[in-house]
Amino acid sequence: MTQPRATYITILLGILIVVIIFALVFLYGGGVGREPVNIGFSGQLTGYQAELGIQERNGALLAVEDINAAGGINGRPLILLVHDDLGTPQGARNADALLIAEGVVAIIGHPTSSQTLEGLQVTEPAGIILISPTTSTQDLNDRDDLFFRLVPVSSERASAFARHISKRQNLTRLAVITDTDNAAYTVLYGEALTDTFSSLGGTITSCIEFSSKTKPDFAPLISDLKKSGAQGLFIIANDYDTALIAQRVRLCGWDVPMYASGWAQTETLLASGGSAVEGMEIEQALFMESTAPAFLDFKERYEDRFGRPPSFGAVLSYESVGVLAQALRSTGKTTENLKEGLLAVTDFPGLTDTFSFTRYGDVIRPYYISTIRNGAYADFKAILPEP
Amino acid sequence: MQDNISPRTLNAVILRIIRFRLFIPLLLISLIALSAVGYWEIRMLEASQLQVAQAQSRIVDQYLEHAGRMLDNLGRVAESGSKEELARVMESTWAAYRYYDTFYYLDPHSRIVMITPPDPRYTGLDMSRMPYFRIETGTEPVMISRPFISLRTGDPTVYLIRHLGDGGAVVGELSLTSLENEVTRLAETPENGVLYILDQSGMLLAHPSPDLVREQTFFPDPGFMKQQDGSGSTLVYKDSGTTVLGSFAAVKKADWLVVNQIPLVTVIAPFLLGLILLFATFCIIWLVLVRDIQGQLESRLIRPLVLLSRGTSALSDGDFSHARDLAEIPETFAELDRLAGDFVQMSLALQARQEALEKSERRYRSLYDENPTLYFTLDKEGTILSVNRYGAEYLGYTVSELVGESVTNVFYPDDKPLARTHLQSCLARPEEIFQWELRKVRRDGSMLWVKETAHVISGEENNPIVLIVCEDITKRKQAEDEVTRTSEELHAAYEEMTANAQELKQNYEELHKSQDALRQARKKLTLLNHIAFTDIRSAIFTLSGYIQLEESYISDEKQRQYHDEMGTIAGKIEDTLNFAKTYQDLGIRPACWQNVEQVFLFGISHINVLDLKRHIMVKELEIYADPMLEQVFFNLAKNVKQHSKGATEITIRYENRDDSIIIFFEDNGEGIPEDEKETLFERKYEERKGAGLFLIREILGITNITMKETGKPGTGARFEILVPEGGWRFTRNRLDEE
Repeated sequence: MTQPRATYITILLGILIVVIIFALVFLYGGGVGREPVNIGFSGQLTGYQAELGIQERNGALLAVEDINAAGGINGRPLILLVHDDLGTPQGARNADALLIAEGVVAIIGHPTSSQTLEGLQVTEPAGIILISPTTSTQDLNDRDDLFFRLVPVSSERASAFARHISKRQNLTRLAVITDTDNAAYTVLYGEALTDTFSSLGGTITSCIEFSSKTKPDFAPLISDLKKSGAQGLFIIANDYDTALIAQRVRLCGWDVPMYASGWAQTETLLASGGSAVEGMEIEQALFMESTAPAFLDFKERYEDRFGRPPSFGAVLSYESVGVLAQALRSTGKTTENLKEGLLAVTDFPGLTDTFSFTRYGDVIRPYYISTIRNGAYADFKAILPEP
Repeated sequence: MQDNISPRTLNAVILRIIRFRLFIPLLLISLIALSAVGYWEIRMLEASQLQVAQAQSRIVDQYLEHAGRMLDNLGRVAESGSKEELARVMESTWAAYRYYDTFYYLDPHSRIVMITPPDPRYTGLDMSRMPYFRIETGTEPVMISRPFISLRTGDPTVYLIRHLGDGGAVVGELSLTSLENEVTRLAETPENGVLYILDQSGMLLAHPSPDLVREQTFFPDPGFMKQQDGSGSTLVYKDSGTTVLGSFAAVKKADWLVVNQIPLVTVIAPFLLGLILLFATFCIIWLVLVRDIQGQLESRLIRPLVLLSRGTSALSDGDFSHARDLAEIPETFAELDRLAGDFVQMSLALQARQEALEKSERRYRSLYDENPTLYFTLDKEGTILSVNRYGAEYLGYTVSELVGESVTNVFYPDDKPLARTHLQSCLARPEEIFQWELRKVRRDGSMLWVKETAHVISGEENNPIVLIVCEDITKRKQAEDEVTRTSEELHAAYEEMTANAQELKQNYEELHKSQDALRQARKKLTLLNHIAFTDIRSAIFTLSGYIQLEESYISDEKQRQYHDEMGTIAGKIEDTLNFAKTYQDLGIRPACWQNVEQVFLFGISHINVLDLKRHIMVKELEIYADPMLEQVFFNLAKNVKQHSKGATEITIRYENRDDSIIIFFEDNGEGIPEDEKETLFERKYEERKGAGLFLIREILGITNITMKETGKPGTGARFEILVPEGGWRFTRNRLDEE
């Protein structure tokens, strides 16, 4: 008669032990799951030029959260490991080395071309894919390497912008001010700009370079540029410096049209530029006025998540993680054949448009020129690369 | 079905009791208690965490309040004073408090009019598009912007805006690094957890890791915003893959959150560790307990029970050797000890009974087998069922050779029919006891007479069994023949003895007559002696008188010589007569017990011994001696008076020696010379000296008392009278005194 009761108590004891073991495993191991896939992000996160890096990191973070919410990479969760490259070459190498050591399968970054060039010195030998959302330097164009990017080559965009200024604005005299701290981008960008503008009959009346790290007083520089008799000013600098330069230009009473490279296309430019940036034409990597549902949803969720609107860097970074995830899903592997997986991506549905990669990992997508009106980017005009 | 289930072993039963009645309830109770303690500790920790967060939120509020008051003062100065005065106040406030990184004074168009510390790069800049500056005027005089990372300093910063009456504003750029220092300081006490501050969007404003702040790290809202009610609360959520316990409190002036979080593992690790340790401890204790109880059960209960069981089995097999094993069972508990003791006692009792039974059996077997009587048991056919060994061997067989054989095989051929007849008669009347005498034949062919007594009893299945006790009466038969012959001889001898007795009787009567004649003769002889002695002594007395009368008539020397010689001879005759008279009485009367002291006093009373000091030390001593013992002491005393020169005292005493006693008679005279000691007790010496010692020895010798002289010449004579065992005693009075 007591046998069933003994069995019942034995079962209860077994269940109790199993529950305890599962509780311990869950609490200490964070639950039972498959091995995650680590990807890295490397960009400038501190310092006054950190805005682009912050945006790109946030975009990547949101993408990872979305991908994991959708089931991860074939059931394996993505984990984003982040390191600050401090906006310096050494910082970029260190950050990438750390990420590689931590076992990432690919790295999203760097926001700026100079740091990307340095980072490649580490990632290429390690066989790690580097996907930059915003690096557009000509130096990395048409190279059969492990580098991919989501913005068109800056020189093309600079040439297109030069043609726009020359042909549509009918300007013939143009002054240029360039930040040399991101020389890999700004110098080539400036050369393409001036070459094209000159080739179209225009004159570069003055070309002044500065280093943003020295926090220069732009007033004398602007004064020199003004004295050159230029009809317009092209600013190749980050968002904040572009805003300061624009404000100083207007304070100097120099009422000329101003143009800015895509590097400055952030909210900071709008906020810090005040009314001085009104009418400024700026190259845009993305169509930020897009009303595509995915883009609008992204914007809303980004603002909810980070309390501010996303910039192009956030969008491109979000897309970078997306295309990487697709490649990872397609290969079923982590590092092996990842390059081929990325190259196989065609017409990837970005947030604003679709894009593909060239066989060298350069993106094939349109870029834009917009005008700042009423404190916002407006009047986007798509520009296609020269055939 | 129930009968088919084997009962559990005692070990299993005890283990079930330990497991289900002891271990699991205790474990569950402990788990519940530990869970309650863990829950209480978590609640306490939650309260502590929340308290820290709330305290920090109040600090932040005070910090912002203080900063706001400063900026309000600047605003008042801007509204009421000149620009120069405002510049001075801005400068002094900036320098004095160091709260703010920068003060801005904006005109109504939001252009920077003044900046402290001065920076010409920013003077005149249009800040109208700065989202942080475009805060509508509310009820508070000083508004606080959303935090941001300063592009100039890279530090977390907020703007405090004091709108002015003219549309301008005084803006203070307030660094939050001081908050960061505060949370970093709190982080030095890890038990408080990690404390950090978030803005409304979840961006870090202060954190023990400054890089996270400068990297504008966003923390996903785990639900703080929804529950934000100003008082704070506690949630469990995941942070970077780690489950944490976070308490938060709102900064009222800025809608920020102060979060104090601690990894849940840290919180519950001790609890879980305790749980695991408790469980492990319980398991270990249980295992140890089980092992120990198993061992205890094995040694204290099971093994003794097994031994008892074996002992019982052995007992049933008649093996009592296990009783000793049971005696070695260690003392475990009283009941088992008593059981073991009872079992041992039972075993010993059974063993004693068994031994007694075996002894009895052996005795009766021996009695049966060795009894010089032949026992048979027969069935109704006359087949031998059993026979005692003596009986079988007496007939020259072994037991096994006879059992199963017909009993008639051992009868003398001529008696076999009669034997069968007796057997049938016996079986026909089982209530009777039959006896018969027949002849049997041994294996060697010799014949013997036996007397058989038979009786029928009921055997197995009521089959009759004939018990036969068979006695060899061959000798009796032979003896009866011999007795018959001897009786005839005895009868003849009796006749002859009767004749001899008659003859002896006649001889005895003749001897009796002879004794009577001898007694008459002795009487007559004594009378004759007495008459003769009297007549001789009278004649000697008369003769002595005539000799003395003649002395006065003798003149011749030769005659005198003859006369003296006659007197001497007459004296000797008289002495001889006296000796003979005395010696004649010796042994006439039977010996008897005599008091030595009394006889001694009687003995010396015939002599004047008043000049001798007397030491008598034989009180209550009696000896068995001839009635002439008095003569002994008389003679000894007389010798002292006559021969012991210089004697002044006499002593009689005794000593015990072995089983004998020695009576000493001593004097202090000149003693007896050595050369006379050899002949002292001879008749010749007495004739010469007249000491009477010969007579003394003779008197004492009648009752085996010996005497000798052991004195030293010059110191006195000492006579030792040795009375042998059985010849001396003390009177009743002496024994009572002792």
